[in-house]
Amino acid sequence: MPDMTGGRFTAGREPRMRLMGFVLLIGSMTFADGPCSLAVAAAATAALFLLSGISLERVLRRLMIPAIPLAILVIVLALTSGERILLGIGPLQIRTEGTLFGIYLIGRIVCIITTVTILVEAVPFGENLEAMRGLGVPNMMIDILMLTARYIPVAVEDMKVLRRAAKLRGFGHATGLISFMYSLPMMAGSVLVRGHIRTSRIHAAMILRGYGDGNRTDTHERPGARDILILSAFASVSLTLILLSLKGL
Amino acid sequence: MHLPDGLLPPSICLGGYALTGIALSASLRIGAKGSYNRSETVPTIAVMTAMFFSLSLVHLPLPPSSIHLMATGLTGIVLGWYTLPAVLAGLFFQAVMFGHGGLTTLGVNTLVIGLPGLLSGLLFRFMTGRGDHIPGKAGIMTAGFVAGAFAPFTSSILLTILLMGILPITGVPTSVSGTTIWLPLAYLPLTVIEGIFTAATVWFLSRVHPSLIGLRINNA
Repeated sequence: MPDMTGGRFTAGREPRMRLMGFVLLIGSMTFADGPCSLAVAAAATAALFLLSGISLERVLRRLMIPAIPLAILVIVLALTSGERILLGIGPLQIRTEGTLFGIYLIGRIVCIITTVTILVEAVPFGENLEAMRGLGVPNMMIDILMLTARYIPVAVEDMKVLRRAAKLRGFGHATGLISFMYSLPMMAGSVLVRGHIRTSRIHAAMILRGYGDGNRTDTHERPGARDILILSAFASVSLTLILLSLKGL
Repeated sequence: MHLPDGLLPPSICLGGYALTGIALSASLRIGAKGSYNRSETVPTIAVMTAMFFSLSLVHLPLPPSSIHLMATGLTGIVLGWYTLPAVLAGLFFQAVMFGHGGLTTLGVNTLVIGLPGLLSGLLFRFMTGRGDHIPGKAGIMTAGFVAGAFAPFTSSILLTILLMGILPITGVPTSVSGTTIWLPLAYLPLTVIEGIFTAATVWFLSRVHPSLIGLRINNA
């Protein structure tokens, strides 16, 4: 799992303002569908990447996830979409419109995924959750997210332990689907029942420590001039992206 | 099944968030009208969300490739009206931790994956009845299979409708977007496997912890 403890992007910035800025930017990047808007999105992404200090490897790892289906889509588009022929290779004809659409699509996806990666890997997860609470996300949803984040490593570890135990007892030695389907439901059921008992205790402990609906007071400081300046910068880039896109640039 | 960031136009992303917000608010309200107990409800949703997340990491060998479970049917059976917040949280963590799906498409993905899960839960409740007894093994397993298979199959149909409607708007020719009509067929193996998995898990839970799937023990 990625390290979500945070990086350089945290110093002296009010979490709600920062989250709002990122949300605005990421949302406006979905508008980028022309050369100019894509250039602005790419420049903003590059600037954030340099400021965040996260490694290129982390970004590339995330970009690899949708890479194969998107590559197939782009190839199909380049070969089928449009009238003008850009290049002919034997029976294959690469079309201008499809190729351009593919380039814009890939550019937009790279910008969005990189910015999302910066948001989730360079800012502590708990800080983002508190910012979400401060921005009006229901307390119940935040509690669910907090408790789930706390319980996911436990559930994953429990599943591993139960699978190892099943193998040691002679179940699930084979790697086939039938063998898997024989043992997996019992393991999932066991983890669910154990987890249900355990999370109730964790939740009670969280409430005692001051988390939970109604117990949490707003601990955010008032946004300073620097925070407002940063949010304005995010908003300006977002507005530029939307305007450029509306003008078809 | 997860749509990645950047694929959908902004209007669809915003619409997805708006509809998810409405559906989420409605399901929380209806859920709270039932037997709502905060100290019980939040941990149950959290543990099921963690299971939903963990099961998506388990890859089942299906030569020549492998598939992973979605467990939305099981989520619906355990959580009922609280399925949507669990699916939203699970998809959020999948997007944040592994980049599966995306944050801009979170609303749309929640609707496509979560709504069938919610309907699966209601279907299971309908099939097992509301009486004070646990139905027989065949009854529980049949209801589990139907509910478990219903969720991924319905999700694949919703995804097909969505892609066939949206891709042409974004510039993808209809000859390409039209091929998504085969999507439910591609998800057929997963549908059957999810059905079997849910049936077996529900049977296990009915023996060990029946109240977790909304069943009551008959002491009469």
